[in-house]
Amino acid sequence: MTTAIANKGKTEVSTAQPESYYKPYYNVDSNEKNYEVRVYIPGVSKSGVEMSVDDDILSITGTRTDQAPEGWKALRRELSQANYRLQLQLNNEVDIEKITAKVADGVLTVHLPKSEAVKPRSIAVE
Amino acid sequence: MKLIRYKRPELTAFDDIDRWFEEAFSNFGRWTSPIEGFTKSRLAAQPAADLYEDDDNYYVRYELPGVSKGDIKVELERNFLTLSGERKEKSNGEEKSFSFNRVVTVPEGIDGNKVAAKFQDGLLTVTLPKAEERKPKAISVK
Repeated sequence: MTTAIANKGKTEVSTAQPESYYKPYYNVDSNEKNYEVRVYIPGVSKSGVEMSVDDDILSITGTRTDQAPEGWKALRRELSQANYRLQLQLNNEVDIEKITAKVADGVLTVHLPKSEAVKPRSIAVE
Repeated sequence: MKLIRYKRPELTAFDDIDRWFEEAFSNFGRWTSPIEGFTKSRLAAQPAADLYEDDDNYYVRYELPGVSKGDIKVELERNFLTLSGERKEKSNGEEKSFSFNRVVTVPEGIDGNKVAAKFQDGLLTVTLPKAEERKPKAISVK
């Protein structure tokens, strides 16, 4: 009887921890050529940002790089300590290869160039 | 020791309503949410603050994303720490400016001449050194 259990031997122990994410505030602007998304992620520097595009979902994860040091004792807390996660569906044609992003002062700015197909064009009247 | 009474901005009734909308519509994957406002409180006129201490200092931290260093003003008067400034935002070619202000009561016994502030990645950390007589001291038992 014991072998039945023993055979299962190498079951991997799941070490997944519950994680909570904070959905950051963001803004979207557009002009003729680009969409510009600004995501407010205070406490995250350039190295803490991960972005990916999977199919038509743009995923942004911001891991705080500036946490309060261990030795500090909190007397009052109002700020969230959670990391950031935002998923946006790209329901407009975007040139994925040319997406650029930068981080400054806790704001991630993502430029999403519109693909040629959806740019406005003037049509000559004959 | 106490801070000035402060209502957590993300817990206001309007934000709850916005949050419901945001959750209800989030699956549509819209570029812009139908109701702007959810989490906007993070950029509120009264920024949220954390207060910490260790043996030598008190620390106050604020989140000020998108604010440039030159637009932040911090003042200490007795034990009131005042933060004020402006957040400038450019959208569609227009520049908008929003002012913010927050007063935090910090504990007594701070060496006001040595207060320092650092702004990095949208986080402002103000370090308030404790005056010598306020620091914990080990007393040897004879």
